[in-house]
Amino acid sequence: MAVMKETDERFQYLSKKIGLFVLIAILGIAGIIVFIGIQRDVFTNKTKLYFISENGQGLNEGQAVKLSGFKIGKIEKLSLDDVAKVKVEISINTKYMKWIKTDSTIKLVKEGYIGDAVLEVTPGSVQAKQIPEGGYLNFQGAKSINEIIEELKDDIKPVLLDIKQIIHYINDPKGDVKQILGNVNKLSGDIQHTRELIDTMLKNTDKNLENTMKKTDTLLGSIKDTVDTTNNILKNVETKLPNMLDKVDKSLTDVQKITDDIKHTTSGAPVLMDKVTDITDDAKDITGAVKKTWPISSKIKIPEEKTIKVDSYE
Amino acid sequence: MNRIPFLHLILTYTRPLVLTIIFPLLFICPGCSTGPHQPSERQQIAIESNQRAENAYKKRNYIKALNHYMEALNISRSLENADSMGSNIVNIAYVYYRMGEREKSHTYADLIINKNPFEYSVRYLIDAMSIKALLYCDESNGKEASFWADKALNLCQGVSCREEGRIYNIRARASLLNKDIKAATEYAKKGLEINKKIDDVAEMGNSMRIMADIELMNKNYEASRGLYKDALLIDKSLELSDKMINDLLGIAVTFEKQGRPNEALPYYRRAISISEGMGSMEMEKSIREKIEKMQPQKNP
Repeated sequence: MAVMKETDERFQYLSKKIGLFVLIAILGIAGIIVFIGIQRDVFTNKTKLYFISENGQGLNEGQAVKLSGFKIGKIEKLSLDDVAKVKVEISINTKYMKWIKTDSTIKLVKEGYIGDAVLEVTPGSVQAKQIPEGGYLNFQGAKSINEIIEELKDDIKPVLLDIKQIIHYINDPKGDVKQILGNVNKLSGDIQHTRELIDTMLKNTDKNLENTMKKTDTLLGSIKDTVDTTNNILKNVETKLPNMLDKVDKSLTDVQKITDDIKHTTSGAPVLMDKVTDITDDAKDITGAVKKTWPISSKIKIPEEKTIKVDSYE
Repeated sequence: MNRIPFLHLILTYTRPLVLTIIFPLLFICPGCSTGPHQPSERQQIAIESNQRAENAYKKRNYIKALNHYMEALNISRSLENADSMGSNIVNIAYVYYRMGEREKSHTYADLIINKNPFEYSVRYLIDAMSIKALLYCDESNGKEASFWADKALNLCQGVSCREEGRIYNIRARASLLNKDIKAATEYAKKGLEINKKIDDVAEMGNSMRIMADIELMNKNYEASRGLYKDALLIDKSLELSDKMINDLLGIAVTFEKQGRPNEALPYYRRAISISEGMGSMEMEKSIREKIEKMQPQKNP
């Protein structure tokens, strides 16, 4: 002890420091405990309610109680009553109590095919009063598999009977179904034959169609060529026509002018022609008379009809 | 200066001279002469049609020639001019013959022979019979051809008949068809003799060609060729293209028959050239076929 000086600065206020450290640790631990308690609704006000179940199957302590999907409490305790029914004590967060009415029911439901079942509280009617603390809820227990099978059995049995009758009816050789099936079978045979005929017909049609298509292709090719040629011609015509029309118009005007001129110039032509005819007739008469006059008449050969000389080696 | 008074003198005296002497003579003298009879106006039209037909015939436009001859015939029929009718009927028959319309040619020739509707001049009868004989020659009917040629020859006897030489030629052709070479030779020689006498050069050429054909049949190729060449000279001088082709082909055949196709070829080519010039595609084609069929010459 003597080695250590009580006056060492490091040891000054040591007891206070340790006390402070422990205090903080205690406060930390207490804080954690409070936090966890809050998380686990330890400090929440709870109201105890009860319900009676025929058996405890599917019920466990700590099992969640839900309302419209929200967890509002849990099973606190399971116990058997005097008549060997299970008395279940549940604690509900008080703040949710306003929705639990006297006519509310509680039932055991499975949230999924796998996993634990939960207790589902249904909200009561608007008119009903809030259930008091310690009140009993009406429990609707979940049906067991056997119960479900029994129920199903009852439901399915008539159906199965009906099916049996139907099968019997179908299997009856004299029944409508069998006869229909026979007819259908026959019909399908006929259809098969018809289909073969149709196939043959379609093949022939294909061939004919192919030939027709080939011819049509050729024809279309020719038509295309012709249309192209026509288009070209039309284009040329379109380009040249206006100029040509202008020229023709001009030419027609010129022709009109010329014909007018000719008309004007030849207005006396018929009279002139008559005169010429008269003169030629006169000339003919004169030459005729001269031809007949001696000594000219002896020199002029009278025209005569000639016979073609027949050749012996044509 | 001296010319003017001379001209003045001529002009002064010409006018009274014409008026007083020449004009009166022109009007007085027609009565003094007996000039040839002038055809009537309608007959003149028929004559003009006949002349137009002749021109068309010479140009080988046979359809046009026929139309004009028909027109002329109708006018002459309406005037019942037998001479004009006979002439036009013979012409029509001959044009049909040249066209290869044998039946129609027969029909018109028969009009003359059958005196339909009346008797025609002998010269037209001889022409009609000659045409009948030619038609039968074309039909390779030697018998009928001989018959009509003989009838024509009979008519020629006793009249001054310029057609005799021609008819002998036809008779010779008919004899050839009858395979009577001896008679054919005699008729052809007689024809040549008469044609020479009357100086019918075209028919002389025909006589020579017929004689050449006869020599060819007798396989006297050299003699045949000589006659063909003589005929060619005449035909060429008369510008008878069809006959020139016949002569040239005849010469070519004589060479060919002698196994000298190389010498035949130039004559064939000349014949083709004339055919081309005439525009005769059929003739040209037939000559080319002959060349193709020709056997190639063997080297000696």
